[in-house]
Amino acid sequence: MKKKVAFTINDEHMELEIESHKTLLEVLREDLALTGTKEGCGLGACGACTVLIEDSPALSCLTLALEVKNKHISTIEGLMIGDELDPIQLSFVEHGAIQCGFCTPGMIMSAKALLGQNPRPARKEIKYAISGNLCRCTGYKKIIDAVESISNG
Amino acid sequence: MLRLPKADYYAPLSLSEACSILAEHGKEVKVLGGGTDLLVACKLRNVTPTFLLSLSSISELKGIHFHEGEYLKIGAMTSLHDLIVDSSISDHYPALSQAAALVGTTQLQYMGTVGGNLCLNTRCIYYNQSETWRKSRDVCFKMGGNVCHVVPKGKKCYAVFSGDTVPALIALDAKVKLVNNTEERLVSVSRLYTGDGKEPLALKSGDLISEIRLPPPTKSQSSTYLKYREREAIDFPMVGVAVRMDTSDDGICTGCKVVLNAVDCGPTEVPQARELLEGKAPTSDLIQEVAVEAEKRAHPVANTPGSTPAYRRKLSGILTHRALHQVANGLGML
Ligand SMILES: Cc1cc2nc3c(=O)[nH]c(=O)nc-3n(C[C@H](O)[C@H](O)[C@H](O)COP(=O)(O)OP(=O)(O)OC[C@H]3O[C@@H](n4cnc5c(N)ncnc54)[C@H](O)[C@@H]3O)c2cc1C
Ligand code: SF4
Ligand code: FES
Ligand code: FES
Repeated sequence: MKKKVAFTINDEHMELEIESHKTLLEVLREDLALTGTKEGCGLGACGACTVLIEDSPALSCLTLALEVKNKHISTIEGLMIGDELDPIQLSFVEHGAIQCGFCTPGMIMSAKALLGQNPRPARKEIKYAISGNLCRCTGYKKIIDAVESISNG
Repeated sequence: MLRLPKADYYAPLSLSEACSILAEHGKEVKVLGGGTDLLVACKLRNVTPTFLLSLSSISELKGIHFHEGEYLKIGAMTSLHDLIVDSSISDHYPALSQAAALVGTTQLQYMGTVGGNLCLNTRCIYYNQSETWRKSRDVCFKMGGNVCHVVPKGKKCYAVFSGDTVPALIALDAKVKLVNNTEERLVSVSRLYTGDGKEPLALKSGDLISEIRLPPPTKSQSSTYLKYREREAIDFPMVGVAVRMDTSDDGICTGCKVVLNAVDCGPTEVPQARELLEGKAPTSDLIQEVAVEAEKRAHPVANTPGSTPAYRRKLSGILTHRALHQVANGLGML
């Protein structure tokens, strides 16, 4: 059954009619063409689908789209300001923290949530914050370095 | 894309409305807390509700408050993250905030609720699999069939209960308020579980958990929750143990509860802890005796990834030993 829902995605207010069993991930990728957010496992175990709901990290593969009624959602597409990369994105590029890139959007959103709450996290806190995001390529070190470098400066 | 089965959705604004919907629709409805267990089960077609009843818009189900010095009230829809960061919990009921911090991953802690953790379904490597995977074997008891692939001659399902906050809540003598369309009642958390793998919860049809109540904190109490899992960052427990101890001014143990997690179809209390320790000053030898009893109480079967039953039994003793030492030390008793 379709239901009406309003929410804000990357500062843009929207009203959509959505099938009640659709996940936020399906709506982002398939209805809104925001394909930056990835599906890895679809089962809550990899973090590739991480977005921010009201600044907290959430798995869009396990969130019903109707559950985010009147909430603000941020995805990787919302980070750039004009042509400028967000400092976290830039830091990932500069540190070579991206290989295949599949985990990157989720990883960056988890890091963004952490830095929003704690602009100067310790290395241990960075590791904890991204511990729900799997990366099969980088070995994590460069990702942690990338987040650490902007938390110091 | 892994998709959910078609289901209708309703998000009532009040508890009473939620209860009447539940009473009317019975078994076709599933209650949606944070969805981190239920929606996975829906995607895997372990359950196919026709109707999801979301509790997320009911504001009376959220939050942590002391109630006139009588008890600490935690709304069922309070997130695990809030249990970790709220100082009234981390200061007075450390086992609970430690357990919440050991559930899944950061994202799951923000999304998952304490009510959902209490009602977590039991798990098994033959059950938590896709429909296609399961089709390669006979349908087991948990899915409505007549065999068990873990205990081949078994007459029932042995799926394991592993909700991490539950042993902590039992050790802390927590109660839950159950509400349905006609009544509300307070029940000890330990009485919520049937010990049956297939139907692990002793809820009546139409029951919702609305809140959790913890007895008022005392200065002479300490508690902890320890958990061992394959991957530190994400996995369900191989074994968990919650310990709570109370002490008198002269270092005598006046109360003790030890509750194991993930070694049976429900949380497993070790009653010998009380018998062996209460009325005495804890010693390393006494703690070792309790650890041996914990190992005997554990009945793990081969349904958990990454470990054998023998390993988990042994681990039950080791973690109990560690947790008791930690708590007794913290109270200055050792
Ligand atoms: C990758 C992964 C790892 C995980 N690791 C762990 C772990 O290590 N430890 C652990 O304990 N859990 C783990 N979980 C499971 C889950 O995230 C948590 O148990 C969480 O607390 C469940 O809460 P929820 O609100 O999301 O539950 P939901 O999925 O919303 O609900 C779970 C069940 O409880 C029922 N329910 C929910 N709220 C109520 C209520 N108020 N009254 C009555 N019934 C209710 C639902 O109908 C459903 O049957 C993991 C999950 C995933 C996907
Ligand atoms: S313990 Fe046996 S019956 Fe229960 S889910 Fe596993 S295989 Fe199925
Ligand atoms: S796709 Fe959501 S956690 Fe893997
Ligand atoms: S860069 Fe390939 S998974 Fe992380």
